[in-house]
Order: sequence, then C-alpha cells, then structure tokens
Amino acid sequence: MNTEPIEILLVEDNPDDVELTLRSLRTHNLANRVKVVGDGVEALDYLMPPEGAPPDGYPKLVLLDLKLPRIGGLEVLRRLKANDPTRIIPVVVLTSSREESDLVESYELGVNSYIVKPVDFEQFTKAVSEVGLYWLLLNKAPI
Amino acid sequence: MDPKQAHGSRGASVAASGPGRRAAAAGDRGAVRAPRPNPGGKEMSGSLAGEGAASVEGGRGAMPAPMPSRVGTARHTTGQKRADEELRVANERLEEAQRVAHLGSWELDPHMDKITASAEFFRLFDAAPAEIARYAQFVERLHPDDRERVNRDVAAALEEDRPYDTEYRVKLRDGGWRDINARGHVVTDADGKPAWFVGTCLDITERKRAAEELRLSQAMYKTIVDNIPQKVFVKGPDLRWASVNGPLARDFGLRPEDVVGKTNRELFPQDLADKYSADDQRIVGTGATEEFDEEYLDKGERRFVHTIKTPVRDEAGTIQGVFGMFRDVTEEKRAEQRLRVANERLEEAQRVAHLGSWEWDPAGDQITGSAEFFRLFDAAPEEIVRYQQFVERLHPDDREHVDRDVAAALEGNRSYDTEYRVRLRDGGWRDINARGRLVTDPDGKPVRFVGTCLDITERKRAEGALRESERWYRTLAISLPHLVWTCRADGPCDYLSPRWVEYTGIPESEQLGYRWLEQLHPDDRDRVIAEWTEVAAHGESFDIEFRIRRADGVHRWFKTRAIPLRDNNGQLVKWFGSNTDIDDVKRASEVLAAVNAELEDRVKARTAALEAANRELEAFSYSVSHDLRAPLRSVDGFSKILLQDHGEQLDAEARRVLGVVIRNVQQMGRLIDDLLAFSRVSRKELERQPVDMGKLARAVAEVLRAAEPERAIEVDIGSLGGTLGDSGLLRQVWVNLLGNAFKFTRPADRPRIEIRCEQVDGECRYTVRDNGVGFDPAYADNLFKPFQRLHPTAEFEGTGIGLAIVARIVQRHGGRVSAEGRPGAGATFGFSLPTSKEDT
Repeated sequence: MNTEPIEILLVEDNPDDVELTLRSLRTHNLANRVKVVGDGVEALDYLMPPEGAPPDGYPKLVLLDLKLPRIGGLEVLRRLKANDPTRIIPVVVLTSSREESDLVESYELGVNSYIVKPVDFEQFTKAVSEVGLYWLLLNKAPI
Repeated sequence: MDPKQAHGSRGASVAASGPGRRAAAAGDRGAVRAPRPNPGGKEMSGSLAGEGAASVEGGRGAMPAPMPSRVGTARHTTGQKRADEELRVANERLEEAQRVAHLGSWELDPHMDKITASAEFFRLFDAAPAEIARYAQFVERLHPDDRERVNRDVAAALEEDRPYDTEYRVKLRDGGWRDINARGHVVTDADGKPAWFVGTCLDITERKRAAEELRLSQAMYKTIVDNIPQKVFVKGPDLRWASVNGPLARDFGLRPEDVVGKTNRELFPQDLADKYSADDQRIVGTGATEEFDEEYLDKGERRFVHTIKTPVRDEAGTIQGVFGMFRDVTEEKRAEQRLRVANERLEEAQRVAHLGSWEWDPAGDQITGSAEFFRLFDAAPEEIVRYQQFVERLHPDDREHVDRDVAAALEGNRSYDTEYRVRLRDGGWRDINARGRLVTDPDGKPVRFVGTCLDITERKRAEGALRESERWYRTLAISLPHLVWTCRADGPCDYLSPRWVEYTGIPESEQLGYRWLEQLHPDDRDRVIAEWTEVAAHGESFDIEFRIRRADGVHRWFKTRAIPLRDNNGQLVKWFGSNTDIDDVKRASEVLAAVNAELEDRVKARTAALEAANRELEAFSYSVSHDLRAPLRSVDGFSKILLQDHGEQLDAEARRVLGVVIRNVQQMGRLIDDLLAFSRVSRKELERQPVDMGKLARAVAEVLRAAEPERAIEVDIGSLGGTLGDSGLLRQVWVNLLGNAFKFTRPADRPRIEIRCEQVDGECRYTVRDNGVGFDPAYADNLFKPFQRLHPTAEFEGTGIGLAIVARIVQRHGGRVSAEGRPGAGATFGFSLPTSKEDT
C-alpha cells in the first residue's frame, strides 16, 4: 500500500467486470491506484465518511455501475453531486444498461460521461481506456 | 098667418091696456087664476075660439059652453045664414091651416080661469078639451122645469101687459115631450081691464131639433177646422181674407177675427202676396181647382207647403171667393229626403256587402228585389218575377231543398236560412246564403216573405280550401306513426290525433286541456310541466323526451317536438306537436351504453393488464440489457484473454473452437441489442412533427453508401414529400429498408434502388424497390415477424429484426406495410402513412 491517493474509484459488484475493467485500465497503465468497492453503500462510505474526507483522499475519477446491491448507482450519483466536496469529482457511468431513462436521469444528476459497456471485449477495453485517459490525463481537474 | 102682423096688431092693443096689467101685477097669483070675464072680446079671437070649440064639440062632445053662447047670439037671419056658411068654410080652412102649420090657438078667461082652444091646440097637447079646461090643468102638462117660468110669463102678460112669448115642453101620452112656442096677448075691455088672454101655440119640436143639430154641426165643423193640421181659409169676392181657422191664425200670430178683411199684401211679403193674388184671380177667373207645391223662408228656414185652392160658389153657382187649404209638408219632404238617402245608402251597402234583399208575395206570386239582388242573380228585374223563375236559376241539385225550405218557412215551421247556387250568364255558379222570414197578418195568415241574399262564393271557396287543407292535415295526422296534437296559444291541448287516442286507449275528450299529463310517467310529469310552462310563455320550439303510458299500462319513451304556429302578424295562435316513439332506440342506446361501459371497463382492465405487462417487459428488457449482457461480456472477454494470454499453448483446433464460442457470443450480443431495439420501438412515445421524407431518405442513403464506398449502387429517390411523424423512428424505417436493399443487392451486377411515393386514398404509399435477390412470396407473411429470416446468416448477415421494427414503427404511425418479390427478381417493400389523420 503506498500513501499516494487513489486515482480511480471503481464501483462495480460484478467481479468479472471488475477484472475485465482493471485489465483494460492496466493495458494503459491506469490501474495503479484504483480502489474497487462492490456496492453503493461502500462507495458512499468511502467518499463521504463520517470524519469528513476519505482516508485515501478523493479519487480523480469515479467509474460507477448503475445496477448495484443496496444503494443503486443513480442514488450514489445523486448524493455525490449533492455533496459539496464530492460534487466536483468526475463520475463516469459505466453500465450495461442501454435504457434511455437511465441515460437521461444520469445526465440530469450531473454525470460527466455515460458509457454503455460493449459485449465485445476489444471495444470494452478501448472504451474504458479512453475514458481513463481522458479524465485522468487530459482533463484538467479543478482540484 | 103672418106672425109679425098678428104680433103688430096685438102689440098695439097691449100697449093700450098697459096700466091695468101693471095693477094686476101688483097682486098675487090668485088674480091670474081668477081672471075677470071679458064679454066684449075680440071678434077674431072669439070666432076662432068658437069655431074651434064647435069643432071640438062635434068631435068629442064634451066642450064647455061659453063660446057657443057667444056665437049663438049672431045666428038669426038668412043673410046671416049665408054669412054663417062662409064663416064655417073659413073656419074649416083655418082649422086645416092650423093642422098643417101645427099651430093651435087658445083663449084664457082671466076671471073664470077657463081655457078655450082650437082642435090643433089639443092635438098639440095630446089631450082632450076636457082635460085642459082650466089654467091649472094646462100647467100640469108642462115640463116641471118650465112651469114656474110660464107662470111668471103669464102673470107678466096679464098684470103688466107684457107680450107673452115663451117656450115650454108639453108632456105627451107616450112619455115624450113636445116643444111649444106660445104667444099671446091680453085683450082689454073698454075700461082698460083685461078681458081675454088669447094666443097661439106653435109646435117647434122640429125647429128645436134642427137648431140643435145646426149648433152641433157648426160646433163640430169649427172643432174640426180648428184642429186639423191643415190651414184653412176663405177669401171673399174681393179676395180679401174672409175666414181662417185657428192654426192658420196662429201662424200669423193673430186672432182669427183679426185676419178677416185683410189683403194678401197685408199678410205676406210682396213677392208672395203677388203670387198668391195671381193664383186667387186665376181660380176666380177659370173656376178650376188648383194644387200648388210652394216653398218659402220662415225665419231663415226653408218650409214647404202643399196648397189646394178652389172657387167658392153660391147657390146659383156664381163664384163668390176662394177656399184654400194648405199644409206644411216640410217634415214630409225632409223625411222623403232622408228616406231617399237611406235607400241610396242601403243600396250602396248591399252592393258593397254583396247582400241583396227581396220580397215575395206568396199569394200573388210576385217577387221584388233590390238592385243588388238582381246583380247577384245576374238577371234583370223582369226576369225574376215569379217563384218558378227564381227556382229555374238555381243549380238543379239545390232546387229540391230550397223548395222544401221555402215550404217549411211558409208553414211557419222554421225560419228560412238556406244556401244554393245561382247560375250566371257566363255558365258559372254563385254561392248564395238566403235568409228570410214570413210576415203574417194579425190572424197569422202569410202576407209577405221577406229576406236577404248574401254572396258567399268567396267564403265557400275559402271554406272548401280550408276543409281540403284540414282534411289533408287530418290524414297526415292519422297516417303518421307519430302522435300528433295541437295546443292553444296559452297552453291547454285542444286536439289529439287518433293515434294518440289509440295508443293511450283513452278518448280524446278525456285528455284535452291538461289531462293528457295523466298519461305521462310520474317521474317525468313535473319536468314536462315545468318545461312546457316555460316554453309556452316564450313561444319557442320545444324538444323534450318523456314516457307515455300505453293502453296496456306500459310506458314508452317519446321524443316530443312542438312548434309554435303564428298568424300573419306573428302572433302565436297555436302549438303543433308530434311525439315520436323512441322507446326502441332509447332501449337500444341504453343497451349500447351498457355495452360501451362494459367494453370500456374491459378496455381499462386490458389496458391495466397491458400496462402491467409493459412494466414487466420493461423490467425484463432492463434485465436483458443489463444482466444478460454482463455474462456475455465475461464470456467474450475471458475467451479473448485466454487467446491473448494463453494462445501459444493451445493447438489449432482449440483456437478454432474458442473462435466459434466468441463468434456466437457476439451474435447473441447482437440479438440482445436488436431485441432491445425492437422493444424500445414498441414502447417509445411518439413525438410527432413535420418530417421531410425525401431529405431523410437521402441522408440515410448517403450514410449507407459511405459505409460501402466500393460499391456502385444506383439510388433513385423520387419526390417523397413530407409527413407528420416521429422523425427518429421514421429514420429507423429508412435505415432498415434501405439497409436491406443495400444488403440484398450485393450479388447484383448493377444494383439499383428506386424509392417512390404515391398519394392514394388519403395516404402516402412509399415503396423501396430493388433488383436484388428477391424472396419466395410464399413466405412473405413471415418477413415482418421478429427474428424471421428467409436467407441463411452465412449468406446475408442479420438477426431478422429489421423489417419487424419497420412494421412496428409504421403500425404505430397508423400505416401498413407490404412486400412483393420473387426469388432473383428483386423485392419491393412498401409502407403507407396517413396524410392527414392523427394516429395512436
């Protein structure tokens, strides 16, 4: 464990998807400081702990699945965007849902990107990599 | 005998004996009853009385003696005899004369109270000489009212030497009375003392009666003349006014006697006076009677008189003056004038009213009529004089009943009031209403039959038209299936058609007014009354539905419509209404409403079920989208990791098998994506907006062409126009259809795609024709079902969802899809969209 703050918080309950996502990120050396949580509760516990700030710092990017146990992705998104320190953290929805309602609501809640996970692995890898590269390297964060 | 001469001689004697009479008058009546004897009485009286006494003696044989004794003294010589004879003849003549003249003579001895008299005297007294021998006997025969006066007169003659001239009545044996005029005088002796009282009695009964008659006659004449309205006058020979009656004198303002002696000029203005004088002179000259109608101004008022003037002649026929009589005929003239005006007015009124009057004398069979009467009969007065001539002018069908009516009226059974037709000269007919009544004399015998004729042709025609019209409407009211009625302007019903009566089973008379309301259903009654009251007050049309009880007690629904009928002045005169039986319709619509409600309930239930299903489908789609893809992604991902990380350790067969796995996983991913797409198309809400179909088709064609730049595909897009629809979904239609066309023309040498649009029956029919591989029409029905493919995947890729999506989108826009094709001969896919109609 190093003391450097994490760069990506991956909220994903499916371990297969976690592995595939991490592999994609790793392809582009983006998986060094990634923290993975399995549901919405964990995600909120990490990002909005009772003591104020996360012990490992705020991530530069949150990759958020929508279909999560306990607290769903949209609710997590709503709370993050309603909370002042977390409001500015870029959140990319990474989901299997092609439902338009999900997409529209996500943007209304202030999501930064909405990525439908392709079934095809090459395309999936490409999409994840591009998102990671953009938000971690190219995008100048206000923080 | 001349009474005057006798009177004169006696008068001389009486005058001579005056003083003695006066002395006697101073005494009492006893002096008269006891007159003194007068031996030296007048020879005339003596002879008269003697002869009379002798004659009476001879006749009756009971005469007292004093006079024969005196006569006897002179009878003694031959000469005397002859003289006696002459005397006897003279006496006989005298007696005859007395008898003829009804003149008796008498002598009274004032001393002896003895009466001697001629035969005629006793005849006058209807008594025998013995019965009137004394003065007292004489007095007893007088009328009681006369006795005192006679006594007085006798006393006056005897005592005062007054002339005796009196009248009295004598009682006759038959109870009657005779009027007597007695005259006499007293003969005195040498000493101037009364010797004899002699005199005559004249029967004046006739004279008295004649005088009385004359008096009455004159009084009557005067009464008549003074009381007739005519003015009567007489002018004398000098044409001065000699006499006028009272009325004429009053006209002059004078007394009758003051008019006498006046001339015309003194009584009239000059012009009139001269005219009258000329008339008078002419009549005196010609002796003819003339009549005049004259007029003059009286106090500024014009007066008319009718005058008759006739000459007055004396017994010899000589004209002695003019008698005239005239009367004021001003009032008659005026009445005549009024009558003439009234007649003219009557005639005018008859002409205007087409009312003629007539009169028939049944006995003489004579008809007279007014001018209008003959005008109505189109005949000259002389053409209708007799009853038969009248009857001949009537319509043959009317003659019998007119005869009957006339006969009934003549018998007094009933008044005459009949109608008939009269033939006109032009061959037409005129309708007449004749009325009349019989005028009878006091005995009830018919005198005249009078009446009127009124032209009722127009009325008849109008009545005929009205009857025709009424008959028409009655027929209509009966033949219509509706219940027809009319109400008075103020509401109450005055007619119900036989249909209504038949339906309700209650006589019309028991339903008029407002009693028809009793046949209404109790639940409807108050509503109908309220509305009817409201409508009747405003005169508006009236539409209402209510139930009416049928004869069998069943209430059926009727739709009632009432229309106000107005007269020429717009005044509401009647309500005309009809009730249409809508019971069956009503029940049908109730059933329909129930069915509709049930259907709606069912639709709601179905919709709810469908919505539930939709929600399930949504959840399912979500699961598919999310949950089915994740494992696929893992299979794909980890298969590829196996290939990437461990590919060198696998032999060729293992890598081929792994490739099959990956290919199928990817096919399944496409299937899932297509399935979700199809589901989305079904669930997405349509956003309608104007869409330029040509532009859309061209854009899609460009994208597809760009995807296969190496192919030379001819795409011919005709004029497609615009439509109203969801642009995103319609774009999907073009993508799928053109995509298919691109795909299935790959084997063609010169691929060609033709896109057209045709406007037919309110819809646009779009067609996409290609010259590709075509298809077997036997399976055309399957083309639009999801995941149905006619070609192997190896030949043409795809999941078979494209046409199903096209069909779903087109259906959701209210259109239809079609497909034609043969293997190797290309295919034509079409879809239609309504041009104007919104859809679901």
